Amino acid sequence: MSLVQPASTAELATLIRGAARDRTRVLVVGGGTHGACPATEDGRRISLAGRLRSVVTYDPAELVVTVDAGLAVEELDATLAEHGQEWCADIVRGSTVGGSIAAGASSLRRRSIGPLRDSVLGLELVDGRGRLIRVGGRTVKNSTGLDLVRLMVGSRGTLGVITRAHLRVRPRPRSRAVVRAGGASLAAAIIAARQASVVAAAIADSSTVQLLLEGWPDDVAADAAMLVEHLGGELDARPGSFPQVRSWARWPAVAMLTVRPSAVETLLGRAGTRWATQLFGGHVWIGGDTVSELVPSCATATERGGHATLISEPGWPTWPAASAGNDTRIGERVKAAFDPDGAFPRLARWSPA
Amino acid sequence: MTRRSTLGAEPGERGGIVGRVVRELEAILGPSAVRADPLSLRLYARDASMIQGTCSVVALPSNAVEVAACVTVARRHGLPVVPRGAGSGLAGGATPLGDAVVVATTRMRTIESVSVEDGVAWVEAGVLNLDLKEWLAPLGLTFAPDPASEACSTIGGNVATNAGGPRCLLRGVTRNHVRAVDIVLADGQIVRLGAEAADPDGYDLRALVVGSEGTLGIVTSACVALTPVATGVRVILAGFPSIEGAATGVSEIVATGVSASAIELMDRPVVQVIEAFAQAGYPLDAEAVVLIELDGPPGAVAEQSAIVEQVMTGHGAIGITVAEDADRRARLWKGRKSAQGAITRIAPDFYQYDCAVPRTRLVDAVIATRRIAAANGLTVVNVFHAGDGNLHPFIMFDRRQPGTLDRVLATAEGIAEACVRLGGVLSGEHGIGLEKRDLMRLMFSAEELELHRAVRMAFDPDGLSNPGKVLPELAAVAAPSERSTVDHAGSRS
Repeated sequence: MSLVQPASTAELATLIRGAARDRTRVLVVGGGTHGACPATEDGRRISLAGRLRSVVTYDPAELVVTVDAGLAVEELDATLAEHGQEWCADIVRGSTVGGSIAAGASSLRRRSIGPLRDSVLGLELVDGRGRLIRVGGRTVKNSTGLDLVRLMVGSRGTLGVITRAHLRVRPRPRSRAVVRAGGASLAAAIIAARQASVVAAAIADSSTVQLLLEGWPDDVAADAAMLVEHLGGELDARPGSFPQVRSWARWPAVAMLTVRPSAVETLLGRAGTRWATQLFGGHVWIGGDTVSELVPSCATATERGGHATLISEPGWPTWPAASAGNDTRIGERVKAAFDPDGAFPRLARWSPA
Repeated sequence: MTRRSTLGAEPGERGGIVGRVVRELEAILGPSAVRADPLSLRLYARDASMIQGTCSVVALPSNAVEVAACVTVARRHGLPVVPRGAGSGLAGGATPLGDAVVVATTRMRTIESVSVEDGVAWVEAGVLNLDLKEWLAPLGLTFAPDPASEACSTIGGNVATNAGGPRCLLRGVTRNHVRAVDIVLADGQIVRLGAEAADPDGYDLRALVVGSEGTLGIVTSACVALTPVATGVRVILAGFPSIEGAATGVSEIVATGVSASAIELMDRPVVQVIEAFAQAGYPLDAEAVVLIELDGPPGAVAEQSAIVEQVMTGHGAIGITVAEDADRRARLWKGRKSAQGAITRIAPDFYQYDCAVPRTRLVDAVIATRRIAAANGLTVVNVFHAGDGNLHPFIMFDRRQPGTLDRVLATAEGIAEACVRLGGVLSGEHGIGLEKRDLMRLMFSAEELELHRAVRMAFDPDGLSNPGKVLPELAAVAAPSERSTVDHAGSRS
């Protein structure tokens, strides 16, 4: 299927108005890495990654950067790194800023740097009528009207095409280290990690616990020594990317679940050996051979006030499976407010049909 | 004021409608939970803003089901509903208009559940911010938002206005700490939006509710995230020879990578009056005083503290004071926290305003506020959250002087315009309410406002939830009658 790459916001708006008029659809893709847009949808696929990819303004003293949505996260990171700063999204090769926001893809380091939605101060988008809409602003604090910024985060190209983003950035940590322990139990790892003060991410699977420490040098060194003493394992004082082991990347199908931390144990109890979990925050990955066999775990998660996303074979779409506390009736009306003629797809839900 | 009140009713019918609403509410809530006497109607006709409103009846429900019943009764008779917490909001979001039914959540004060393991608590809307904090303290946990009104403001009100506070610099405002809400929609349905687990998938309707100032419905309970109480706290205070030096120093501290939990700035007139009032040890010869709080593990506090002191010295700081023990920290904070009370000593009335600008534009914004106030023959003093660019100019005046209120409002609007021109926003943490409703056009195009309105109508198709707030009326006409009812200011404690 051909990929249209508009050269300007005006061209994008014309495309969307055309789709609204002809009752066809505009399917926006960023880098195609988060599967934000269902591959099964019919319509004209557009990408901003080719031509709308500038850093618009960046004043490091402000800790705010304004970028076009098609900018690759990796390129943004390189620009910010020159000034010792970073954005809070994980770098996935090819992923774009707009796509990361549309997918609501929070970092594995969420515990220390916060969820992605907290870093998006404002957006420009083109809605389903082809109108250029600004939401939020460029200030760190803003209580001006409805928070349409957060509504756009995770909306997966169903409300509008994000064209520009004002992002809050942060100082890069001065020091990093990874502690990797083979034999530690999940319970022991949790107790030890809670005593540490600079754990940015902590991922356990059936064979290993990996802890990423980030902060000021003395604090990282103190926590690293404490964790090695309690959990055994090895210290990597010059770690590259984290985690070094992504067990879930090897499974044919994955359910990505977020639940209350107290519900993690129940989910893992049924998971066999294909599981991984963050020690904080209630994030769980459960693997299977097919998406269908993961549906019961998704149901358990949402029944317990959590959220579930299904990821199948590489190149296949990612589906938000289900989420507790989502009123679909209001959701549909909100969708109609942005996109009355259906120029964008509906928010896809996986169904076992 | 006739906005959307008693839909379709002739003036003669209104008394009858209100009477029926009172009787129906009394039947459901009991007579002690319904007020329609003149004194109550006057009390509930205003909040802590400068605007006088009107209402027809006040309901004091005890739980979500009763709130839903109140909304259903009001709707049946076509009366708008105005939710109210403590009424401490400064932007008029809880100021009722026309024949509104005020639904106050102050009797809903139950902390429903606290889970240390999950780091969340469900609390009813009427629970006071400080009561929740005191309840959580023995567990080593807290609810991070710390508005100046924390002793009297409710969680429901904090959610409605997306309340902030000095320490929101590091830990975020209310929207960063609300996982889910139970909300009564305009059709009387009780809906749960969001969940105890973080990071919802799909449309974040919960996030729309936070900061919506009651225009989407009435929040009856909120699931809030709990934050560990800060440890290793250090407060650093310094005076500066100029406000420019203080503000650029703050910018540089932030840019250098210091993650302070609070950075507050006070200008000379405020410092003078604070010191006389609180004897907090602030330098009286400084043009501006900056208070910075750091917390965290020992390495972080030591290194950041060194950076702060170095940058401050580089900007000509006089008399840097560092406090680590709780008593000395409390004394330094006491000055900042008594600013509002202290200002009443130098001005018969004051109007506390709220705008935010990109933090590198703080100096421009402060200069603009002074220039605009002077052009209107008024004085403005500044106490604000410098670290996140959140200005709180206090416009001082004496309401007994004829024509003063018009000059006060002109000053406020001038400041809002100046902040928007500097790339800022109308409100950092107080909300829009009635106060800034008609200024929304400074920030948003007609199409953008129409989208806001359409999203609001997704929750409340008939516009009965706190109508007339936040979004300007379609007819693009400012309501001069509301502007002229300003009759009071500066009495807040």
